[in-house]
Amino acid sequence: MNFFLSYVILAEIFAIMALSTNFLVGVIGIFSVSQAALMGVGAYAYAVAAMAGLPFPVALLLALVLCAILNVLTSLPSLRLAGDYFVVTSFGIQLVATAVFINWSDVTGGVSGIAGIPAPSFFGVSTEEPRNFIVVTTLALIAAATGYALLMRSSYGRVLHAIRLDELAVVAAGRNVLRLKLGISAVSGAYAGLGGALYAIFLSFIDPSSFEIHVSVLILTMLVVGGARTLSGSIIGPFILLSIPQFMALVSLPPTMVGPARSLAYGVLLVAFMLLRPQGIAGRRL
Amino acid sequence: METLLDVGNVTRSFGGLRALDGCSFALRQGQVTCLVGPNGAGKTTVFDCITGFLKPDAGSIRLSGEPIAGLHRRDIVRRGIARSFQNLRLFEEMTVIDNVIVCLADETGNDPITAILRPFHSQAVLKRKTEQARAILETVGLLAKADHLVTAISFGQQKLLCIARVLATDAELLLLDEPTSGLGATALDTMVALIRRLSGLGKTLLVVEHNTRIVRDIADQVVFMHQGRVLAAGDPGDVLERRDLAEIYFGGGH
Amino acid sequence: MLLLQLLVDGAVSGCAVGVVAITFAYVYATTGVFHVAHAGLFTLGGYIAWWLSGQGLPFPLALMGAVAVGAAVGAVMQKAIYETLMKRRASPLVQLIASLGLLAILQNLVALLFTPNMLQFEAVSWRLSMLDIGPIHLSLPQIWTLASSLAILAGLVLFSTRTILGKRIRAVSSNRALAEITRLRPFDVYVVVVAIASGLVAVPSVFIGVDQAMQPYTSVLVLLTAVIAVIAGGIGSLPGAFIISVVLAVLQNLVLALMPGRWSIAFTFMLFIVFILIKPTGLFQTRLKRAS
Repeated sequence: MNFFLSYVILAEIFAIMALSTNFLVGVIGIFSVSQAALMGVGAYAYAVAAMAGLPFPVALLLALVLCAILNVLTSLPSLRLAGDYFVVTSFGIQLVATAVFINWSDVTGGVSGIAGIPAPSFFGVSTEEPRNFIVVTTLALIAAATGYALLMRSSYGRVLHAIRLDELAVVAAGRNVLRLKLGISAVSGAYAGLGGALYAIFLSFIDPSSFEIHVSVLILTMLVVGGARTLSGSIIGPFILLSIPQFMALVSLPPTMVGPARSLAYGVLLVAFMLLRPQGIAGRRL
Repeated sequence: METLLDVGNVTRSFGGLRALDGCSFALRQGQVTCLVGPNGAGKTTVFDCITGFLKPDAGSIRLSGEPIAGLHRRDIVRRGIARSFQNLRLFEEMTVIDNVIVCLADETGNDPITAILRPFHSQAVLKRKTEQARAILETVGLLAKADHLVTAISFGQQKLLCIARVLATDAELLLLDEPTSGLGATALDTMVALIRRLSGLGKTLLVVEHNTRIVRDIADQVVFMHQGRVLAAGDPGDVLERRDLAEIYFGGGH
Repeated sequence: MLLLQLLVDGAVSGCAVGVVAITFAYVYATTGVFHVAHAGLFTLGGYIAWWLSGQGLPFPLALMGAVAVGAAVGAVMQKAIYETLMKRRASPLVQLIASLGLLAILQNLVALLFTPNMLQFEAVSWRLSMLDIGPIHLSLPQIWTLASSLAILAGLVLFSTRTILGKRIRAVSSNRALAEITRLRPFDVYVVVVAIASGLVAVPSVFIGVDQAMQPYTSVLVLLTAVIAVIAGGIGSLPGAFIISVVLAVLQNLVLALMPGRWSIAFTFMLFIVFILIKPTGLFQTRLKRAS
């Protein structure tokens, strides 16, 4: 039973990550392959803060705010410019983040990572057990999904869609497109921070390999398979994608081949969906 | 009548080509001015320079006496000049009313904090904006289509929507790039009536228009452009009667 | 003298990066696809040559085999994937995500077929031969890297400016619509361009592999440096992109000497950010823009 709980918890955490990606890729239509990097920043920030004895809400808030600020600062230079600069920025952030996680060992523990990250307790109940922690992740996902829905229903959401459809026309209406983009980029960062913090708590151990570029590709695949720009897609995607390793377990592969085999499957899914169903399962044109 | 916009000796080149070559004219408050001239005369370049989409190489552009050349496009809209595009640039995949809401001058609620953390306020803002947008749609006669997708309305209605979007910015000077092109007879009449109505509402309009019949119909002033220069400006009757201009317009210009 | 050696080593790997940069730029400027899968083709080339030479094939034949396979895979990619998406008028984002998928497929296929771990060209006997020029040590593979990269740069520039096909390609990249009217058939041209780029990118991959070692996933880093060089050099200038690649690699090597660990990518990326803040149009040519 524990196994099923873990699956749901992870899928919920990744659904938050998919929503984070959705804001960028689905809503304003800019490429992102650095969500895992931000998730990592959130995870490390939470881990360091919690290990230093800060209470859960403070540590969580720290992770969220740090990720939001970081995402805004790193994307600011390339969002000022039209064109494909953002693709380079996104790859760059991901690779630099991995380098930082590995090399800044005083804080991140280097390749060996950080172990023993404490789980919070609420009203005297520890969430270390998955059956307790699932309440936390479920509530977090509900909050994140509500936030997404509220955003999409606001006038801000409409402007964001308009930016994707015709940025120049939005400028011609007197809108400050850069400010609007940075706003959503902050939200996307905060979501990634939330996902990262929950991930750190759930596994109680983090290392750089959890936040590599493969994971960013995985998150993007989740979004694409589920369907960009939809709430349901961001939730369906992670549940489907995280079940793939279970199927792969049926074929016995040498342990070193499991990772590449999975990533290969993600690549095939990305290409196949772009060719056959770019709108994903839940269906909106990308 | 007061001068609202003054374009003085504006020059703009692309590589070796001089799209605007000392272009000068003035728009008076509340008037409809038609910008005419053969293709490639520089009409759209004038629009681009006035609205900040292009920076003039030389010359001045003044709005109520204040220089605006070189300002950011956004600031020019905020000062009261809005434009439409020849190729519409509507937000397809969105509804008619959402197209207008996006362009409303009112900036409130356009940030994530309000949208997520103050949901009730955010919905109240949206409701208020929806009312504003409906009023604008009523002005252009599209209220019945408010909730249709842009792709589901006729071309004539799409052109009306372009006007609605420009109106949404609250600008007093509206630059319309070929609002009547491609329209059938009925849609044409609707558009002409709308342009008159906008003028009646106190808006100042600069309209790129090819059809001389319509020009006579709507214009208080005609500015005739050729090869980046203003050859004549003044009363529509006078300008349109000039033989030499007609020669350029219908003869060698095309 | 260590400094001089570092400079030379940096310049050599910079030439390899330069080939990745100019071939990427060639595809980007012509087809408009942000072809991240180019990194996958880089990976593929090295492993094909490794496998062929392991089968007892002489090295030159193994190299040619890698180029041929690269060109073929590139052509199939363009024809089967990108062309389908282009004809459907898929958004640039969709094309980019498909390209990312292709990258994942290529890298992981290589990892599964060969090994995800480090690999060396054991079968190439001269890989450790050294040459001393004054105080500088150069390995034979380094010399080959240098020579082949410069030859590819010269060849591609000559090809695109002097041959009929090359000129035709430039015509298509400067104006697709016009090219269609004049029956240049852009889609056929794209296949040729991607095939050329994919074949050529195998060359530095093989020589770098012989000189050092190979690993399926490192090519993303190479591509990132290359793309940054393309942006800094200006998308329309092949020599510009090549020169910046060399400069970046030399700087990376110097940083490597000053700071231990893998900070050099952070340094390169920082340069990129500074660069787009002050001069986004590139040093040599026009702004980073898709072919339209």
